[in-house]
Amino acid sequence: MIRGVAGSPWASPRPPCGKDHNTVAVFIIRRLLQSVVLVLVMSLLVFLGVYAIGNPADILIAPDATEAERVEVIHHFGLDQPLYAQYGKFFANAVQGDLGRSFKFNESALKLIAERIPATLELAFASLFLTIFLGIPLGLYSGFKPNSISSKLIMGFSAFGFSVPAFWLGLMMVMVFAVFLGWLPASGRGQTVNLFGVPVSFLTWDGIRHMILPAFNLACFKLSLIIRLTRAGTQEVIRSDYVKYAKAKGLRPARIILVHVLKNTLIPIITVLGMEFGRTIAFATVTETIFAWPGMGKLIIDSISILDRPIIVAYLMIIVVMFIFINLIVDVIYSALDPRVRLEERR
Amino acid sequence: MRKDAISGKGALARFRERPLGKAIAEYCESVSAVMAFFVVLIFVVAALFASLIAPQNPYDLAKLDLLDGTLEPLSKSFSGSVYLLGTDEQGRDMLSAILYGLRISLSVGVISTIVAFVFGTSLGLIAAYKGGRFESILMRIVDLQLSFPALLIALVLLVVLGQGVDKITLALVIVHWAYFARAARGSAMAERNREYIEAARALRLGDLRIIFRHLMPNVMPSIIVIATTMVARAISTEATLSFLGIGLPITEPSLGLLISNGFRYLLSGKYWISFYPGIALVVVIVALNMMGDRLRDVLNPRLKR
Repeated sequence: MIRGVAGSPWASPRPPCGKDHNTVAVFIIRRLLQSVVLVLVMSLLVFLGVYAIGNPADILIAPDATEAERVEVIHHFGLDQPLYAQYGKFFANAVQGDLGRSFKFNESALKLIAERIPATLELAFASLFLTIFLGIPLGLYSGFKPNSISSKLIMGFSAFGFSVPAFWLGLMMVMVFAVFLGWLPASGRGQTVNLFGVPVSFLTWDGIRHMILPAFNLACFKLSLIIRLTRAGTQEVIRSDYVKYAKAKGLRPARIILVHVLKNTLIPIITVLGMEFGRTIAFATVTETIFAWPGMGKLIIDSISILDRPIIVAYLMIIVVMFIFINLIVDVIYSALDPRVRLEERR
Repeated sequence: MRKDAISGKGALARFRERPLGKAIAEYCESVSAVMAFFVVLIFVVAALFASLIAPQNPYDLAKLDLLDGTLEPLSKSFSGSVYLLGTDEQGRDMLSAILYGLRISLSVGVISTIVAFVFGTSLGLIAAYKGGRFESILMRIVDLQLSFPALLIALVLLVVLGQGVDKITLALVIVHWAYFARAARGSAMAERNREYIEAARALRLGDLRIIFRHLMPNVMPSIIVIATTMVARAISTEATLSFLGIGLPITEPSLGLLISNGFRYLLSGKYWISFYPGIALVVVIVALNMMGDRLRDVLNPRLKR
């Protein structure tokens, strides 16, 4: 039922989480070491993929260059050296935070992407916010009242958002809300305010208006997923003995929902949300392209079309590190939330 | 069979008692699933015979008239014929463009799924049957790959491989084989200790024969379910990548590329260039997913009884 959600690649050593905080530390350290190995492997793959396949000299050198100029440029960029030497140089530079200079902007690729990260993260968190504060209540409602008309509508929306490509939904939003109705703007970030030196949109009314459509577009898939998960979890939990007991005890419905039901359906939801966050960053490329949102997703698509290799490499390395980090956090939270994981460890 | 002949049952009734017949009969109990099947069938036929059905060959430049550019749906052309779904900026009939685009989208989706199906299922089955180091290494790779979003992996692969129908098909195979491998291994794990496998081993049948003649048929139902949704997902991913301008070149316009092309005109209110290819895409994907959902209900042994 859960699409696009994979088991963690490090699933075998279950995080030992319990009274002993040392075991948690050991687990995190071991995972960090594994992550370093993974980053090394991925950097090699990315390097081979982007630099070694195809000839970078063709892009760097003007077609009308003389043979002497060609040799000069190839030598200058170290392209005449064996592949392992090139990778060594790339890696040594990468460790010092130098992933090359963009061909187009003639600036540090890492810096260019770092400048765009806040815009992408702002959008991603806005969509996460929508997912949590719309998805969980809607899922709870349709779990409690599965036969009402509104919960059938909710499930219809969920099925739709689940299977329809996100970019098409984005286009339809632009068509309906920006072009035909003219309610909301369809491109850019709007007015931004500096918060701790980082420009953000969510503090101005104009910025929020610009953010509504892209945030909804990015949230659609997650929203559908969370509605389904919450609904399934709720239906399972309300049949359990402890909810029946709580009802029999005469607890207020609000307390039963918030404490007994929600708490027990929350574990899979949080795990899935953590994994979905990575997907959100990937799909931000689509949403940012549609809504001309100046994040790193739009930058990478623009860079691919002009083959700006340093930016592509830098983006991929940042994404790899981000994913490893997200997976680590998800695993730690998961073990902290689910007491069963701890019980198994103790035996 | 002889008993059936005595009791006077027809061939159809006999077929209904076999597993395939039962599954088909059960599938047909859902009206929406049957409708989804016919929708997919119609689209497949339309794509196959696009060159016969289409009012115009949309890529024969001699047939296009720039004077007919960006006409609204149902408007008359310069030469008198009617453009049912309007035209794009080059005066291309959108209905024809959609039919030709459907052909590319469907073939990329189906071919990539078939290849991924063969590779992934074989590897998954061998892993489950052989076990040991091969299994653990393969499953590590599968888990690692599945922890990254499919779109991102496909994007990286296309950066490396370049554009083209063959390239995007290859990229989709590399992205999707892991799903088949995981599912095939998962189902085969449950089957590998069953008596019939033990019996086949006792008969000293070859490993490959046991895997493909005995294990595979029993794993098939769950894999077929995945294959249906995978076609939908492959079509969707291809459209997304083409929309981003990194999937297919302009010479091979799939539905995604048509939508991308119309996006510029969408903002000025000329919605039909993007809208109708999008509807075709969504209808295909939703119908395939509905078929997949129904197949899951019919073929999943865990949901029975």
